Amino acid sequence: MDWIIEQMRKKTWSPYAAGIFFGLVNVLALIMISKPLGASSAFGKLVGLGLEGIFPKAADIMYFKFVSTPGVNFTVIILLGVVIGGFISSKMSGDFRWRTVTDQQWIDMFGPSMWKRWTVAFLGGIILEFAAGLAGGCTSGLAISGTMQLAPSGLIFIGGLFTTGILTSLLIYGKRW
Amino acid sequence: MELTLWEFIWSLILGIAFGIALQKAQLTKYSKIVNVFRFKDLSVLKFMLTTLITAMPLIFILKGMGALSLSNVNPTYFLGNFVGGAIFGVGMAAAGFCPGTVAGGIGQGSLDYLIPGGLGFLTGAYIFGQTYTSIFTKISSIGNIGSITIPEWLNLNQWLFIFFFVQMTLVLFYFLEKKGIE
Repeated sequence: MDWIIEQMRKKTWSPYAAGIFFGLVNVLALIMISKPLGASSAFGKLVGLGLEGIFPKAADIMYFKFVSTPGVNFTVIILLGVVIGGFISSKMSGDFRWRTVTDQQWIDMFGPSMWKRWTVAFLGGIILEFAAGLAGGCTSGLAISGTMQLAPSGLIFIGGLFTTGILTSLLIYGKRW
Repeated sequence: MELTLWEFIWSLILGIAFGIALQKAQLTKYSKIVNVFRFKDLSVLKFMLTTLITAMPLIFILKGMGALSLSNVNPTYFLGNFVGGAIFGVGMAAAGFCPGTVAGGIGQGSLDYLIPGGLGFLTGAYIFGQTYTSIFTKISSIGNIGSITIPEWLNLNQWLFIFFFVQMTLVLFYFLEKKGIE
């Protein structure tokens, strides 16, 4: 127990240690809930739920009726858990802080403007969630959950992701890449 | 609720562990995500590959023992998997988060992840839903080989494939650490 608390008070784990831990968590998911972990599909469930309450007409489409029915399923609970896990981890290590602009590297590159960061975060969110839907999952639900089960789609996704990720950062950072 | 109490409790525990792993690896930070694409900090790659070489052999050993079955293998449809991944890479390199790390980042108090990030993801999910029949059903029918594994698809020995995957990853790690590449 003391050892666990000591680890939780650390701000950073090596990516190898965190990776072994996360690998075991992924296996545990298959054993305990018979489903691989993922994050992106929860947003579809949540937006459907919100629309049903506010604009029922907007939720009256094929996708929300048959493919991703509005409601709280295991993916939504997992996503909620991730928020709680991030809170526990950062609180125990002293890394928790209300932040409006993400980190120093962003500020060095693009300045302290909150609106600049918030605009990119909003547009980035749209792009990421649409893309995850198209691909059939995200970094967790496809790149990791797919590849660990030896699905070709996991590796194809990783190939696409790194290709444009590298090109995009090259474009954004230019000479400072 | 579409889940039993058992599923609820386990989903919550697994999610919390997921969030702790992301936050402790610092993947809930913009710079950690973006710098993998700039080859300045390969933590994301090291984390993903370590997760894979831990989970992959265990899953197939447990499957061989009959302790678990793989009923949710992600379907493969070449064009959509690749194009989706390619669009995803643009968003990830620009925003510095992805669907899982945005949730972990909300937990550490990042308001840019919570408010514009969260709204962006919900909007993206709505756009995906609206265009589902016109875009997704079409693209996912191109090069669709269904829910099969690489060894099944290419007629390879599954254990040999896993062995090489793990071995190649360990060789990569060895060189990264030897050269002192973060």
